[in-house]
Amino acid sequence: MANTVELRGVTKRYDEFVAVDHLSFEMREGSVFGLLGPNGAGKTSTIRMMMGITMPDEGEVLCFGQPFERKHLERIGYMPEERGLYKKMKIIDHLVFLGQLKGLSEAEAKRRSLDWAAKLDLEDWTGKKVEELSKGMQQKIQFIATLLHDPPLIIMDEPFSGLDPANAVQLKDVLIDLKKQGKTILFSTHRMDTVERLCDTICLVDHGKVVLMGDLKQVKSSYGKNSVQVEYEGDASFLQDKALVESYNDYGNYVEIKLVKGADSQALLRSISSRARVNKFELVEPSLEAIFIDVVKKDEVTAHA
Amino acid sequence: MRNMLLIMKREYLERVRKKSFLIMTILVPALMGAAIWIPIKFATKNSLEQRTITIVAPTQPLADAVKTQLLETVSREDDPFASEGENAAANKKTGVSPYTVRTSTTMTDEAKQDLRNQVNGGQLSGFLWISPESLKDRKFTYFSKDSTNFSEQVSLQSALRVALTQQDLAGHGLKDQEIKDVLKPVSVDAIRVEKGKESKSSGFSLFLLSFMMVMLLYVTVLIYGIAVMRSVIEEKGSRIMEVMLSSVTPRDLMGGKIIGVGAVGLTQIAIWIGLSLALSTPAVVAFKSMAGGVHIPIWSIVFFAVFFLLGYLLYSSLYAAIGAMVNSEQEAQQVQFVVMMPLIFAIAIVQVVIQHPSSQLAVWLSMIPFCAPMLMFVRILIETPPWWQIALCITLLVGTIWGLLILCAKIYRVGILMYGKRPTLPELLKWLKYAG
Repeated sequence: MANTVELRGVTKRYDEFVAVDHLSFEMREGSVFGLLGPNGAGKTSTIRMMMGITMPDEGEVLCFGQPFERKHLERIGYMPEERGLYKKMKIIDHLVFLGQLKGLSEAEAKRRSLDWAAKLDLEDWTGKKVEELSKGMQQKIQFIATLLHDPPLIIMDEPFSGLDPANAVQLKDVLIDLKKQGKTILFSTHRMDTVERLCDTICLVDHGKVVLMGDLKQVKSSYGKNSVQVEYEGDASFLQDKALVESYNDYGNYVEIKLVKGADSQALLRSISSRARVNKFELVEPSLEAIFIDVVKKDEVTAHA
Repeated sequence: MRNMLLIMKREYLERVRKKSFLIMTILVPALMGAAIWIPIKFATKNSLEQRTITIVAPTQPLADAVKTQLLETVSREDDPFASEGENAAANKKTGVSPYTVRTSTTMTDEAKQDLRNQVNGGQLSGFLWISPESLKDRKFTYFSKDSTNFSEQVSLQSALRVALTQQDLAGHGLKDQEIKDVLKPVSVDAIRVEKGKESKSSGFSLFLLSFMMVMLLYVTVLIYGIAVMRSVIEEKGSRIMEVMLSSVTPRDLMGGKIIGVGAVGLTQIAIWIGLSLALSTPAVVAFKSMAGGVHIPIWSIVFFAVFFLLGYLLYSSLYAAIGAMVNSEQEAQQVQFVVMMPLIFAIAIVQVVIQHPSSQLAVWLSMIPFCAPMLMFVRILIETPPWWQIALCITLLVGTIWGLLILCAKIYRVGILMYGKRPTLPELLKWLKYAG
């Protein structure tokens, strides 16, 4: 299948600081791509270059198989992390305005805005001013504005931040729907757990470089099912058992443990149950977050070696 | 281009629909009219209060002569603009002097102290002390509570001069009638010659008109320039910039904004012109009757629109750049002052230019693009400068605007995505480099 977006050795520098360092990746048409990494990893800088807001110092960006041109923007829907609306405008006027900027006619933009508003339970609010809406509702308006022109490529930077769970689920459902329609979607976030189940392909970036990239299933299986999630009460000293535990992440309610290669998970279960009360013991694929932390740690070790 | 138009349309409609637009449209000319009308009304009626003055002189005839002159001078010069309007005739008929003048010849220290007490107590507005010594070097002293009343000082001076001259001439043996003939007042009326014909506007009303139009120009350029800046700051504050930039270029965004806000300004000016042409508002009627048939020629309105547009483009591009550089209006205030300086300078010097429109100073100052919209406009109003000067001025202005737009667009392009600290000058230069 064709690539919707392709980055080749893209680099962006601000003085001495290298925000994006020879970044290359491809987004297959119809795939959901997760651009993941901590704050300041260069995610937003990368997206801005894809949108032509800034120009790369080196490398090139290809959209829909061609070098980037402004006319591509009419086929891209971008919801930036820094997002806002004109506070004094009426919702419907605002949506029509943004739709028109993407090339829609006034009538068409209005029709689609009303459809979307009905779909996201906002039909009673279209005559109100932006400043009268709650933050969550404003974000839904933003979401509609991003999708109004029915773009084949959708880019969302931190899409679920600031949303309550109900609204987040509603928007996720819409996105899953869009995926089924064959849209290409890029998520950029530092909260990996929020998009883990949505992505086909992931690209982990740190300090402007790719640290891990590939098909999500492959990435996970290459790490094997050598992780264990444990819920327990009592003595936690088993975590220090270097013969079994390579590393662990304590999430409060439960702890995710990465086993030493070749270690028997049953040996760990026996070790825990001898000291503490086990409520849950499950062999799992490692979470993205665990993989990321693992990769970054290894990276730092090699970098310092 | 389509995007720029859409942005322009949004800016325009959002602004024109606001209540503040309507209020501004009515309030600004009303305030302007009041600012010109009230001081003139006061000057005309000499503060509208009765003033009691005592003249103390060594001899009764001198005191009487000064008294007579003061009463005459004041009623004659009561309305310095009297010859221009219909009001003048009415004023001359009544000719009421606001002064009640008493005379005295007691020149003791106690008498002086007594007069001082009276001034203090408010029974007396002031007293003129003509001592024998002061007669020699012709330097007199007027004691009053409000020493800033210049027009009163001028009245006293001229009354004294005439009285003393009369006395001198009488001393040389001239008869009363001869003295009157010698001292008969003269007056000069200034009529402007325009294209070889006498213009209808007389000197004073032209002065007033020019001043008012220049002030209006200054206020509108400033208000709409600042409106552009505030709009950029608001967009930065509401974080809508990146949403917009995913569809439009910074150039479209800045261009659409400047044109949209400028169109609002032109709309407002058009409303004002329409109103003043209709001549139906009370302020205009009052102004007309007072200044004596103000005649606003059509070409001056055309030039007003031209210089508004040029001045607005010049300053709004600077204001757009400032808006992009800062994060809040408080921060903007410091930078804004630098931009406002040439405007304030132009307004400060405008009176000099009105009085000496063809002087070297006026000609060259009106060529400086940052002052040109105001100064060249006022020169065109009061005289007709050589066409090459107007052409040179507009060429320089357009050239400067072009350069500034390019420069400011670069600052704008980088600035709108920068949050945090306001850039220093070296950082600003770096921005220009980023923008390429």
